[in-house]
Amino acid sequence: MRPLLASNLTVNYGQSRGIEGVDLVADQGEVLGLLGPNGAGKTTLLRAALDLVHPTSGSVQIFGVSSRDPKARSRVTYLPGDLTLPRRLSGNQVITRFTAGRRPVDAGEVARLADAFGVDMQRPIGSLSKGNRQKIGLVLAFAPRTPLLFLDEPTSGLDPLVQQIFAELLVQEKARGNTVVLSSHVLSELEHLADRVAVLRDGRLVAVKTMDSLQQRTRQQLNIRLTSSDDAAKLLAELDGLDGVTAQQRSEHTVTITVAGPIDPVIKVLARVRVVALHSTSTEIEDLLLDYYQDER
Amino acid sequence: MSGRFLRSEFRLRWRSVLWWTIAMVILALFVDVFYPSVRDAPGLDELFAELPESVQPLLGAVDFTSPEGYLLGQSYLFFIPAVLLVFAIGRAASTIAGEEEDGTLDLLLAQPISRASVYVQKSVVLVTGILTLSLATLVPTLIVGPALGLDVPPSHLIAVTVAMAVFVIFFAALTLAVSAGSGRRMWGVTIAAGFGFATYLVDGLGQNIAWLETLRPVTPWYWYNATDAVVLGQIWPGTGVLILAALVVGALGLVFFNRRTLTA
Repeated sequence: MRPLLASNLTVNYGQSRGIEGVDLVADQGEVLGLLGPNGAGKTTLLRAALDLVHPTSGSVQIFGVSSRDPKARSRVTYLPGDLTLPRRLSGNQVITRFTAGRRPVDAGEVARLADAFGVDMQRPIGSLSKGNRQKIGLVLAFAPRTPLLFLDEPTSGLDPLVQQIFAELLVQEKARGNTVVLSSHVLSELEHLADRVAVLRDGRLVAVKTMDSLQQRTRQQLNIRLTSSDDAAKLLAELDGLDGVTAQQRSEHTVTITVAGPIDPVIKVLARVRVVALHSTSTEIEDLLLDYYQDER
Repeated sequence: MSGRFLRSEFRLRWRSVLWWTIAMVILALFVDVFYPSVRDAPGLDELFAELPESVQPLLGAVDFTSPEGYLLGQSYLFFIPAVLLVFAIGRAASTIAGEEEDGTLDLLLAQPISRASVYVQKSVVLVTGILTLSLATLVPTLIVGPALGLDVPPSHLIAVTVAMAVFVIFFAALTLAVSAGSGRRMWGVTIAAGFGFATYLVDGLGQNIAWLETLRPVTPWYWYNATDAVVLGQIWPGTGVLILAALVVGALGLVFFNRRTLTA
């Protein structure tokens, strides 16, 4: 039974954009990233699966149960992208209130998660920072230990250290065979977390790719500063003819190299010249996705 | 599972209901303790008699100085129901639409619990609140009334309290239906309060103005017959009509709430 199965799912909001004809599957034990700019339909897709919006046509199933059946939600938890919690309640009261409609959560699990994230569950939500409120939302999503988790922009407002803890929790979920659907509008957030990425644009599913295949197609860019123009010339000459490598001299001492494919041969060449500075950018994967977007236009 | 949900709803609300209960007890005592002074000042009755006949029904009672007339005029015809309506309309509007506007309803409904169940359980909490406050207006009068000369049979006081509670529950149902059905707190408040005020005028003026008379049966005020309840202990069929109306309005609200897309 597929944890999530959307078939020809269309949600029509009237004037504002929804989603159209989306077919998507999340497999057991995977982290599926939903990627797209704001308004692409990521949140609508998740909310339709939770029956917070009703599909105009098509259907969603959670472990084989129609999203229209409340039972479907017994196996999934949700962290909304725009998380709002009642300001007067404490973290613990939030957990009690928003899990009162499902099987009781293990208090030990709540304490363990709160401890891992370093958030005080006794304090009222109103006195917490945005990041700490987000942590409470994460505790709420992870504590019921459901086999499926919908996390909409989960790392927004979290510092890098907490993002690392979050990443470790995802690994644990996968190890337990659980499935996580994770949305983001920036690929770099998904890069180290997701196994596959579903790209949404204007309410349509544009592409579903494994992260490995995306990364293989990534073009890395290296900006190299050398000690002399002779070195620059030598570098250009040695790079000439390498497969998937293009090099351009930017100034007397700098060369920009774009590598599509394995980077190792380039590193070997660099070892033979005198490098002053090296700067590598990994934003190319975003450009790759722009290609998908543009294909759609 | 649903038992825990209901408990959690009660836990969230009991504090404010407690404060309202204290306020209602004080309000009821306040009205009661002034009775001896009013009874001994018959000039008030004459003042009332001098008012135009069409205005008299809007102000309520017939005989300010009798225990029944005093309680009707000061409490049950308008004042206490109006205070209860403030509670009921405010609470009903905030209970689903308010949570939706605050952005917390998604988290609540992302649980394995149907919208119908949430709607019904929140209605139960709302009705319990209204019954508690109604009881809070009854008990002080039952206890201190006789000592102050408010000699109304306890069964009649209970009858009027039940009739009043049902009347207020109807407005709570209307507010909940409109606000949950539309997702807008203000719509519920505006429509329920507007309907309450307009029908109050129609019912009051309709007692003297012929063409308005025919409209009286569509007003909840017509079916909330406090006078018959206090004087005769009689609350039927009016209370039955209001129970039915509350159920119909509540069911309609649920249909709309079930069908619509929730605001993210």
